[in-house]
Amino acid sequence: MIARSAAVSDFASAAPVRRLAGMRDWSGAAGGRRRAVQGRLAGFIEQYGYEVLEAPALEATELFLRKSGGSLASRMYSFTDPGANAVSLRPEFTASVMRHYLETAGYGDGDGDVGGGVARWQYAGPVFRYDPEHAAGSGQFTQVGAERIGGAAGGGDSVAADAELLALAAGAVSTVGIGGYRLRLADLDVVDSVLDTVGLSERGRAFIVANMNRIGMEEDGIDALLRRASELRIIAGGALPEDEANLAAAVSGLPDEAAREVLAGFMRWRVAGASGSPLGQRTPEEIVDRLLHKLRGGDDPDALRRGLTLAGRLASIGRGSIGGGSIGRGGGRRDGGIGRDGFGGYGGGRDGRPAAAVAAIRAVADDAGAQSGAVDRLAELVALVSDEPALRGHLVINFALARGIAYYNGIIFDIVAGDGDRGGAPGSSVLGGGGRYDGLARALGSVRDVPALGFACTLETLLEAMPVELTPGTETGSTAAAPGTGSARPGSAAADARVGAESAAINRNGD
Amino acid sequence: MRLVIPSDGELGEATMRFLAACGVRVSRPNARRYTGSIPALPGVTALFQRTADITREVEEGSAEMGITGLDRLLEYRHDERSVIAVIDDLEYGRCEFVLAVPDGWLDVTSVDDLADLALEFHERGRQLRIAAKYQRLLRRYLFERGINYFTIVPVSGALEAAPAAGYADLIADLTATGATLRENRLKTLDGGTILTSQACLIANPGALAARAAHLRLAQALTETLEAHLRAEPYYRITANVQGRSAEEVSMMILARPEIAGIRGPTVARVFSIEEADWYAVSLLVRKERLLDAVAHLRECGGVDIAAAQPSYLFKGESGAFRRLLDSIAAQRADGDGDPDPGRGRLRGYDA
Repeated sequence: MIARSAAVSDFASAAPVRRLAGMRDWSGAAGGRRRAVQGRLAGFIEQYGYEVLEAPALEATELFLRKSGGSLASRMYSFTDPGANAVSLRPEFTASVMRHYLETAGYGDGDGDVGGGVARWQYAGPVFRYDPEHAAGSGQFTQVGAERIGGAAGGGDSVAADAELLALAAGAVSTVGIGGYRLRLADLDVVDSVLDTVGLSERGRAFIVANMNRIGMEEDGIDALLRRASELRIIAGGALPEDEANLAAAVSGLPDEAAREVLAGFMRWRVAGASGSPLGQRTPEEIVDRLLHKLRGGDDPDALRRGLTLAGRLASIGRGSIGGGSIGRGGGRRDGGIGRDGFGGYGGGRDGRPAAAVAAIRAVADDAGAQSGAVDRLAELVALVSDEPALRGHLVINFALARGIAYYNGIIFDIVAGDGDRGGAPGSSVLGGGGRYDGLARALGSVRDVPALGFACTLETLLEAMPVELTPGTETGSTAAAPGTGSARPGSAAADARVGAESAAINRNGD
Repeated sequence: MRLVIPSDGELGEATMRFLAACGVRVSRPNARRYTGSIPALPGVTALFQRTADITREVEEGSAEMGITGLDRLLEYRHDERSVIAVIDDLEYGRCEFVLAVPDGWLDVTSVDDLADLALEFHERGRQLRIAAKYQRLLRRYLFERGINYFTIVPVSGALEAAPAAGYADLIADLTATGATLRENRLKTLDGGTILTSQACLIANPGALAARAAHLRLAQALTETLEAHLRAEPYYRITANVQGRSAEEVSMMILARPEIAGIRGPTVARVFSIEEADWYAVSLLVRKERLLDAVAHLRECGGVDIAAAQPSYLFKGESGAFRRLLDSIAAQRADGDGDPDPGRGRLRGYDA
């Protein structure tokens, strides 16, 4: 076209082809350092018996959709391959590892599958996330991590598995010479056990868990959340728009069944004559159910207040008495790099010492009248890891990072750069994260849950948080510190933590 | 200097009309030619391109300036420094980018409902599928509202049909009047307007900065369009009023400050042969105040009242051109307009 040729004649005839935004080249000393660190991590993880799994970088888009939903899926490099398949460059490894496990061990619908043994896999390689709004969180990154899948569900074995993963994750950060870090731990089973005592709908519970990092952070925190819940019709109280007020009046006083019939009749009238499927994937019953719930106003406000108060007490443990400061970064907003806000909230606090924190959690659970099983299990875990060198002085309990992810259960954790009270201060970088996800197998087609845990860290973020002088060089792999011996060096790791946060702090959970 | 303008769609003809109204008519030898000229601005070449391509043309530097929809600028640009909106509202081509759900979803009336529904879908292992005209704007909008579980279904063409056809649950589409949505049994949501868009003048600051001649033409074009837009809401009213002195006449007019002109009336002596006490009054008033102002002038004894549409209204400085200069300066300070935004953070790690 004329416009094109005009452009070409006016500018350089062969414009340079540049590196894509978010992509890096590594060579020379920086590349060597990077390979050395990656090798050292692999060697360290290997000592825990984790074999290398090399999974493809390209997978069916469906795999990641099942795992993460839109939150991560809509930031993937997805495209249609020449064979018309919907495929994506992997945004993380966990889904691939679980897919591999199920393909090997079976989906539980045949003979002797999903059986027995524990699989331990480690991996390292590029992951891809696309986020044009935040250049620093977009592009190609390198994830290094490990997954422990299978084994007996529940009981002592699962506590041991949790302990293994925590030691592995903290040890990995420590083994590359980062001395200042905190591992912030929460336990979704404990949250569940406490909320079980309140008597709320799934929606009400999901609302509480989604707001864990905000409860108690603001002056009128709980009141503000109750107002929000009322706007969302989780509890009664908010004003209805006129149409809905009329419907509410029409079904007021009717028993639920009769009310459903009235609403269903109204809906039939509304969609009469429409062609195709006028309701999308939704059935009339679903819509009527949700509408009735909305009109009637859902949960008891007092129950929700009680749930929020209990959750707020849990979330404040470990947040301790840090005054002032800014509000946690989480809360659904996505104004940081990918994954960074995934575990938003506070990590510091003098009261985060694990044993004291567990006692405080037990007090909340006892006040609520909760079953003690989940807290007992957490106490057992904390006791089990208390002598682990990479965790001693680094482990803090912080329930503010609990999040409602469908297949997540049990422990959830992240590792943030920074020493002492500075650890996890707003702006510090998230070096990695992980947790238990027994429900993922089912989401990927297994007929039953499979115990599973994992953690991952982003190599680029680790490199930025590492002391500059550390170059593992020849130590690569084989001479890495043995587990349990500790290899943390005193370093100025936190010094550049902010820089790290500005670049891509991608932990394993973008969701 | 190359100005790329839409050759198609709603913006095509409207842009030609707008430029003509601004006094910078585009002359196109015939409809099959992709270039034209602007006789009032010698040195400017008009390039006709598909509306969808204009942002990219300007960002890549194939043209220094362009006219396109604000929606397309925000959706398609890669780097907000390499193409900017110099005038973000040219006051035509208005439309809204909205979410719309099946009319039968009685339980969904607001974006809050949608957020809740997305969560409910996710908990049941399903995905809320949205057929969207603009993925990027939609994604940002949804993320900002805490809606994280959704899949965007790429659809070209008739988005409104997607829910009924079954390949999406809801849509995010452009609408000017909402009529097409209603015909397809879709409804908009409270708080569901993702963007209000209209035509805008865009520029590549780096490309313009490269040549002083281009920058001068950019200034001429920007000032012309801006001054025309600024003049549009006003009438210039003139009248003859009798009075003892210019001061007395101006005091009478100023009794109603809201219709006494932007900075007050201009009053000048009329050198009449018969009578010595006539003054000419000139006022700039908003169009909706015209009859009000006429009545007021009559009360002051005004006759020969004439009203005309001013073609341009220039201020002491062009705000739009100032923005352009500012972004050129910012880009220079930012490392000579390095087109790769990823580069800065790698300092120290590049071997």
